[in-house]
Amino acid sequence: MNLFAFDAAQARAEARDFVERMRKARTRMQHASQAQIGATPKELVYREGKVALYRYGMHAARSRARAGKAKPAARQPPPLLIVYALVNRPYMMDLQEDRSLIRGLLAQGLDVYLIDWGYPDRGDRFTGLADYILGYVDRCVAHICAARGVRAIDVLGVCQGGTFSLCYTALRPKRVRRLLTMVTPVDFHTPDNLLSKWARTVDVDLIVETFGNVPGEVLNAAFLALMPFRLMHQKYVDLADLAADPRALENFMRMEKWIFDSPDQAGAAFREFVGAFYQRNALIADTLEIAGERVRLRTLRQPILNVYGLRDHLVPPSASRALAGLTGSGDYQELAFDTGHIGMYVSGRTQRELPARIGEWLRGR
Amino acid sequence: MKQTEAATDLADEAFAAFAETLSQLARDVPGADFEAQLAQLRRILVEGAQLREQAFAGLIGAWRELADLGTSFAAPIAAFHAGDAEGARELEKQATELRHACDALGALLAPLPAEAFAAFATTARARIAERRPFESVKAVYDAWIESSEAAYSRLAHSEAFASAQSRLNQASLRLRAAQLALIEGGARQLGLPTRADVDELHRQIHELRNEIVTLRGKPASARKRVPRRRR
Repeated sequence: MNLFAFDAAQARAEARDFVERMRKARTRMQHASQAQIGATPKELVYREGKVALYRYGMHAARSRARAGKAKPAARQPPPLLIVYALVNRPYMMDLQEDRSLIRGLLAQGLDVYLIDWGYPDRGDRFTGLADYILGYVDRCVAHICAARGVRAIDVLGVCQGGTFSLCYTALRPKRVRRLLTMVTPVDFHTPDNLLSKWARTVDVDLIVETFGNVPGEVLNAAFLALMPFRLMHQKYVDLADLAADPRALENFMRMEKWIFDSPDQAGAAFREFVGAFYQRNALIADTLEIAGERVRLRTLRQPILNVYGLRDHLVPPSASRALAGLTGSGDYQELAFDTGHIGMYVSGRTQRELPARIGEWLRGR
Repeated sequence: MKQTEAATDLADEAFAAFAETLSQLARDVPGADFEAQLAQLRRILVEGAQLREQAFAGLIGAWRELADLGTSFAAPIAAFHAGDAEGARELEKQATELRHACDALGALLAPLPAEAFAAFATTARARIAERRPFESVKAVYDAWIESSEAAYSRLAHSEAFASAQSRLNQASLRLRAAQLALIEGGARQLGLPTRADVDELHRQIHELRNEIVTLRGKPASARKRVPRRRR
């Protein structure tokens, strides 16, 4: 039997067609690269240096108030603060109208805040984990509590931001009412975690001494090297299939912009994060200290919802699921989606289901 | 968006070349001899190592350029800071180590196309057994990518790979450190602020910033009173 169901002429025709479609795709990408990012109006409510705290959906609340339909204070939902990772920009949570977790959460009637870490520069070289977790996060939470007249808020930590949120909740438990973690690494030494395997061999002190802040491009190169054939080759060959669909091209370009829009990492925080989590697996070893305070997951008593992707290659499910049984929460629940790390933010199914499941989970407690 | 443009150019050329290769194959080895087709394909994909070149040659090449740049960098710096012969020797030593580290990683990656092809052949034989020949060049390409990724993943998870990659990283960092040391030495001689000086200032600013935040967080009564100056 023939291995190919095509002959030489058909193969050549396919090549010509491919080149033509790629030509069209490239021309149209010029327009697509101008595609707007961010779908939901937001308001800056607190700023400290490069760190900004945004509140979403304020204009809708004001419209309701103008129409005399404002919710009484008692019926207002408790604030939900999204703590995103340092390694990418948080606009992934609100990429576009039909790909916006934030929009979905607002539709659930939630009051959504988000911390934008900004782009660290040389002046942030000595900003460490304590500054991020016990400094910026704590002061953002304090601001929200004061502004909303509440003692504690709900926290949704995403990826590395989820690890931060676990630490914060363990250290400042009275400030967090309920905790949600999404694609969050907890056990950094599971056998399927390639990134962690590599990170364990890294001389993190030498990196920070040499670079100061760690360039975003360096991290990007490491992420791409996890699946080089798919991420550096096949993804761009597949672009030909999008040539006739301007909307799909815009989506592609938004994703490209996000993937390569990688802030530099503050040197001290990078050193501490890689050392404590990737190399010493300190959450699992129960040896983590931040600014001299012990972080013990078993002190967590809050209800916890742990969301992860079954095909996540950056944070394998095993790394996230390790949280089960480590906390002192009597109300721990997991929610798995059959998707990858990025799919968790943008796939159709998560867009449809995740905000509703989060809303349902919060309303049930 | 430069990365995207460069990547699409590469994808365009590579896929067209891949299709051309398959069109020759379909012409030269027509008919029912599937094993002959596979053997031919092996010769093209593995010995030609087209995708290996595209996926890794650029990467290894970039590291090599860094090593070469490190050495060429040495001459003007050494001239600028003539007293530091030891620093210049260290730079040369690290550049050489970087080249060796590139070779070591390159040697580890060399069998990858053959291993990828073994996985591809298994897929191809399974398709023949199921009477599902490849319907298009794209289908062959996708299967080749999947096989390459599987072979790479096995290698990337190995201790040998982690060790070779670590050596390469260390070498490039030490080369950079040697460059910085030379520049710092030269700057000090000329009385210019060095990177270390700037870092120290940033460290002090960071500490002061934290002290201000702490003071702001305390009630006014707890703040240390600063006596007012009399006019």
